[in-house]
Amino acid sequence: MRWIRRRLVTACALGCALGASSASLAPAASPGTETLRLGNGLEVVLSEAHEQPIFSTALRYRVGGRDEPADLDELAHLVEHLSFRRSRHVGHDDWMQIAERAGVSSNAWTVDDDTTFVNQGPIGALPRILWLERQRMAFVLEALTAEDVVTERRMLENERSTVRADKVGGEFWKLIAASLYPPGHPYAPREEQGCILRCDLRHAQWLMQRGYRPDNARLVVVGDFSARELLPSIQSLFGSITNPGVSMPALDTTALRTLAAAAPRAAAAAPSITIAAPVTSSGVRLLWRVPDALRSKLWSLEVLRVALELVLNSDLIDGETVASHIHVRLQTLDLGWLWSVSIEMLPGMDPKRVQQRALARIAQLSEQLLPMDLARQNARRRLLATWEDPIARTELLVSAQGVGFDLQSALAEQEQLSPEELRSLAREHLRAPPTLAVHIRRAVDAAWGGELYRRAEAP
Amino acid sequence: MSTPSAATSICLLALACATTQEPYAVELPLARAEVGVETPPPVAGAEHLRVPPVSEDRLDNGMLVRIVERPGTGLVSMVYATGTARLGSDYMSVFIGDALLAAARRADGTLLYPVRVEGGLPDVGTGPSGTTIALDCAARDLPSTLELLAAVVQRPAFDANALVPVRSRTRLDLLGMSRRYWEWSLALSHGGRSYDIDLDGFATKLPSLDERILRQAHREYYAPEESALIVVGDLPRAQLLAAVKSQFAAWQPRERAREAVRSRPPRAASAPAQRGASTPARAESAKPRSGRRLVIARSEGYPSVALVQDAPASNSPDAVAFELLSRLLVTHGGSSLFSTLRYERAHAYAVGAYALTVPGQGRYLFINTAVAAQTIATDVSEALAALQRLRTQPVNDSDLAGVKAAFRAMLASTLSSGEGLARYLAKVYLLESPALEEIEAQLETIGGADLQRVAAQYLDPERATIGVMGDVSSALGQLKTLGESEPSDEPTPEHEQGRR
Repeated sequence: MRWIRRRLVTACALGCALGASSASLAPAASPGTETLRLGNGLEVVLSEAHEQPIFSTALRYRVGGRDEPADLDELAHLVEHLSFRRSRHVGHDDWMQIAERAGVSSNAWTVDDDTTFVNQGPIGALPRILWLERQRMAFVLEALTAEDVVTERRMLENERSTVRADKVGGEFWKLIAASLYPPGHPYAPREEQGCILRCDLRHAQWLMQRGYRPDNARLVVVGDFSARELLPSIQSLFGSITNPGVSMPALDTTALRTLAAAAPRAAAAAPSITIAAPVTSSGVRLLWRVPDALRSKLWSLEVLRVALELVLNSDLIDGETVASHIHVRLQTLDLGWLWSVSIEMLPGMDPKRVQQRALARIAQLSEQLLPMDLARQNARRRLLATWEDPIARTELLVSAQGVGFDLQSALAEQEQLSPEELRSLAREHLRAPPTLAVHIRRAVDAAWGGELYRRAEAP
Repeated sequence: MSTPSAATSICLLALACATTQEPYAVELPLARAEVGVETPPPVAGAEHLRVPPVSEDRLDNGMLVRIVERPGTGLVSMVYATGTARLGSDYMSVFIGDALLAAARRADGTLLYPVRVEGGLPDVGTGPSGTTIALDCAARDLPSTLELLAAVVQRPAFDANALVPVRSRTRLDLLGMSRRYWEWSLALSHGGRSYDIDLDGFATKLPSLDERILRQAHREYYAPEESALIVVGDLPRAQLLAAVKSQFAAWQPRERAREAVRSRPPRAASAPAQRGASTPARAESAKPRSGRRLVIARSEGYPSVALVQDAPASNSPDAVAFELLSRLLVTHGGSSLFSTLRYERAHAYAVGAYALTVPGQGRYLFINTAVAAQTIATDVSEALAALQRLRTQPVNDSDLAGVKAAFRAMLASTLSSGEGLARYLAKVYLLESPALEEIEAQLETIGGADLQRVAAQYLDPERATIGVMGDVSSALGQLKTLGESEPSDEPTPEHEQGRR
């Protein structure tokens, strides 16, 4: 079981432009896929996949770390944990057994923007899992107890302790977040030590009531069923759940973006930071904020992402051999999108030189020929492979914005993208200098494991 | 309509004031108005895995080809597999696998550099059972992709310049093997052997591995009669087979095997043939061991625990039953470790189990979690008790049904994509996994008594090796009541003074 909290979600770019919602059953936007919004606001996506007799569900509530009061870090994560303990109709600690005895694997995670609950299992168990998700949405709130809060706070401390054991990962992302988001911003890192101990039952009730509600949620079901035949069950289980009269305080997104734009807090002329940490490889991270006006054409941006990865691989790995791995990501956070280029360097390389080389190559993207066909083929194949895998498809659909993801439209957008449009996107999105550049230098020569080995051989 | 009394109005007003002024006010009542008792819906009977038809051909040079037609996706997934390039203690096979992808030559001799498919690298992996090279492409790109795969496997260039980043990456990988060091050393300790994996030595000799040495190793590891190609794709079988033949039929087998090739029958996927690295046999030089062993690696950080037990070979007739057992132990039983440590005691947020093969030694089950030093001894005792329960108490029917359903669903999820199916069939070829038909047959027949028998054979809490890593100074006394500790774990003045 894994409950993890991830700031700056690093998933592949997903989603489509915001579209008008519809209360009625929409025509299939993708093969075997039905999307609709129930009368209580719950977004529902049912997508058929008949390769194997299994299902996959994801229920995402648009409440997460960013909604926590400043002194209650981890409250959203705590509520996620609490939602597995009991409900009006599920006894203390029976939740996981009800799922596991049906052959279902469940998991959940909380990030800044949302909290997601996922399940996979044999198709015969789908009604049971949908019933459990109904329990979570409608009947957990009233059953929360102070004792459960104490227990789950302890579990969060255990979880955080194991994550803190990987000091590099945790500290690294805290540093990045602090550079991108000033204090007061919902994505800014907060004091963690002891924060969870301040969260009590009333806090959990407050956040759950405002966040875990139908009009703040999206349910995706992928599997070996008939969407038309499943829909009545969905309406029966979830359509009757009402929304409370209170809601989460609205975020002033305009003000927050202005606040974020004032960061990074390092010198404006050279917004870079250096970390000396016990890692096994050095690296460079480059990040660009995406202006609001450019937050569209997501599937064209996926082609840009692939093209960028291709040219950097070609130059820095195959050509100059200064790097071993390069990853490019587009993080579609609610409060601002971010491009992230991660370059893992070979030993002995100078991060400043690697950064200069990478930026020079990126600057050339907007002017020179791009590997257009390769990037398009690659992006298309990845999208088709994602669609083919039920679990990957579930994540794709739950991350989509608005009430519809259209596979054919996404493929068509990529197919119709011209080289000039791609260069224009590169010019607009990846202007020099980047918003933030981070250099990571190795501080030790060997991982502790080598030390263990030598110690064990001593008489 | 009646009006509320003054007293009621005052109370309502007070409540309204309280809820609006309190920063974490909730709307009352919290409980919804729905009435009635709800119970979990029943679960429909488990459906079988949908096993696609797999065609099998053997080329004249001995290479095995397995093909699955998968219409409607527009994609082809392929996995090349060889059982001779196995992970051993000297890491050579891993390095060779990476070196293949550095540069290669086409059949006409032209250099293929860089080796990329749609701009991406093929995915190479080497384990105790062998090496796989996986590629995916659009169906229309099959000819060029197969050409690339054939070049990589048959005609690696071992170009000195192209190998520079490979050597560097390998060194980095070896440095990052600290976790694997820990696992292997625990497994060896469980098997009664001393620590003798020389990964550091391989890192040292990396620069001296010249082209001559690499070519010799390539000839030993890569031969058609020791290879298989799995292709799952949206094309007719005949077309897929013809494409494979066009690239691989001319690959010459090793001289000494040439005469035997034509007479060898196709290898049955379900044959329980044992490979050296997959067998649980102990090396003859291993000293016999009894009793529990405690291995402590003291360092900073939250304590993590690993319990080591014997496990059957991955192609053993007991493999499926053992897989069900390990799931029951950890997650899917009513009294699973996860249920106890996570929910009852709230000591651990995660409990996991996995099987690991140590090259040349055997296969072992690792049960791992992370708990505070204050509770580590009692939690380890609970894990040992859970092992004993599986040996002595029959599994109830509902737990058995649930764990079978979970295992089947996990496998079905893997088989849902062309890539997953191709990779699974490669594991079957490498004798890492039973054939799908065999799994289904076993899932139908395995009962509680079978699981108890397998538990009694492989799980023995009295012979467990308990590995603890992290800051456990406050718990050393309690831990040492659990097993005989290694002499090297005793605190030394140097260690105490130079704590990391």
